Amino acid sequence: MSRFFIIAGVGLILLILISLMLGDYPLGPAQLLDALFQHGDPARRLIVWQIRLPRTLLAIMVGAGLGASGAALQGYLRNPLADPGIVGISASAGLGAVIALYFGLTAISIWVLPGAAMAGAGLAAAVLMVLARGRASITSVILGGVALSSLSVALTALLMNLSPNPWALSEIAYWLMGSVADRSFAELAFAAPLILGGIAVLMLSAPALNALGLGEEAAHSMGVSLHRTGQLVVFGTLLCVGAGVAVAGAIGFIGLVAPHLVRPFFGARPGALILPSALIGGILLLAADILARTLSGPGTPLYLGVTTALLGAPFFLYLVIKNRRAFP
Amino acid sequence: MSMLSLKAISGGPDHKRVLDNISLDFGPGLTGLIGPNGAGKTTLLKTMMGLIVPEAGTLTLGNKDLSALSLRQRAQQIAYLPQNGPVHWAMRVHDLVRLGRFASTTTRQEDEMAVMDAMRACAIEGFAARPITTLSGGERSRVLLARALAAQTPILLVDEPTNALDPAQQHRIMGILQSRAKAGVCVICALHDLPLAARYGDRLVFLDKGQIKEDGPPGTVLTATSFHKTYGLVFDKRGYLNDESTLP
Repeated sequence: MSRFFIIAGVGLILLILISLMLGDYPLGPAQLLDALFQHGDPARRLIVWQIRLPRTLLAIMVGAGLGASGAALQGYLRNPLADPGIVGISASAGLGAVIALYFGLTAISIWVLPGAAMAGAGLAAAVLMVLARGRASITSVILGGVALSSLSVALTALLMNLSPNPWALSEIAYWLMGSVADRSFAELAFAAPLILGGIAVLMLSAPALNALGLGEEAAHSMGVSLHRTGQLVVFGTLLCVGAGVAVAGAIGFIGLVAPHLVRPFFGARPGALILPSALIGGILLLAADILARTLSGPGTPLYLGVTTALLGAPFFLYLVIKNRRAFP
Repeated sequence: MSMLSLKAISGGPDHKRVLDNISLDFGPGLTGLIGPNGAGKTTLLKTMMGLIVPEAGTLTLGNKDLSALSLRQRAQQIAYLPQNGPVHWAMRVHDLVRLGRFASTTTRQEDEMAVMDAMRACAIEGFAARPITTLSGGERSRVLLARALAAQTPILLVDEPTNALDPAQQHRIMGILQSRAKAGVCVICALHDLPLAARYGDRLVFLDKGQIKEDGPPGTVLTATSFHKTYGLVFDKRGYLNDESTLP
């Protein structure tokens, strides 16, 4: 367990250094250290502090939120295939943002787009919380989430369909592919507190998620309030994923894959996977961003959501094949 | 001494009237709930656990109304082992049994002692680190039972714990429950296997169509008349129970 944190921690630090050195203007280790400590060439300092550092930290934050909410949702829904996409929060946040883009509201303020995404996510979360009320079965939350997700995707497609011009359409399409490029500390200051708060809320549900592994009836008899657990998971996911989509667009597969990667080290208890999944989620998204930047050609940036899906889907298939006997 | 008391309980899941005016008092010892499929055994256990809210009647735990207790307070008094309970993750045996301490307010050390006691009682301490998915049916049943025992509640509700187990494993499970009952725990156990009920029950409650048909020691409950009335079964010349229509 502690070995996992040491290896993952060292890996994360190495990736951060690579992320800060890599780009159109590559920096050596000495130049990077100078720039980090505000010495040397002002242009390098600007690149490191204003462009690469916010991008790097934002990728880690968004990935951590996706990883933590994936672990909590898999535990709550007791389904190893669950991720923030399945309950409709990602798609609804995406719809909120697309509405803002479609009506040109983003010109009003830089906060309109993230605000609209959070509002979309909040609406979906409110519907899910109503579904999780009382003694309702958790299946109703999954089914409601799938319906919400489909509706949001359909409405997003409708808005793209009705786009007044190709430029507006491409703006929406590119935004939906997800990216942390050209983000500043302002976006980080918006997303980080929400995501960290979301992870803390998800951690509160950890003991109940472990108990839910024995089924709803056993968990309820053991003193677990299904209603409160559902609220914590949905609210925590709203904060983590809503804020993530608000600043970086729709990014898939991190929430699905991260818990599977940490399960061999931490056992199968869902509550014990939330924090390690957050760490691995951050590492994965940063690695995906570094890869996207490396593979991007001049004028044709590779989008983050595309990279995570291209890497995540085959890797997930490999995990399923390797562990097919371990699923109960 | 009454630990759990039901007065004129009626109701069932989804507002169905499965239980019909049930009044019972339970004290220490092993009570077997017997009766045909659909008699209301599981509904009765779930109602006593608070998983089903009765339409009418009162349930008292000691001298407190069950509905006035919080989920956690209730879980500190009653443990429940559902029939064929699922295990959704390949949890390690020790982690699973540890879940039995969910509602406890004791220290980590005391929790760990309760877990070790429960694992010893169920003879599963040898595979504490193994994932539940690698165990046999009998071992798995003992692990799930250990989870309920680890709660160390004065009342233990168990639904068909011997289902799908071989005779040796059935006796092992019933032996564990019997030793808890002898230690002063109120064990209420739904059973289909009548010889097991007769062998281990201090008291049997015979349910049919949501009503109590018989209540007393096994010898007075398990009679030819009650078998005939409830199951439509009669003893043939060899002493086997048989459907009366098949007899010559």
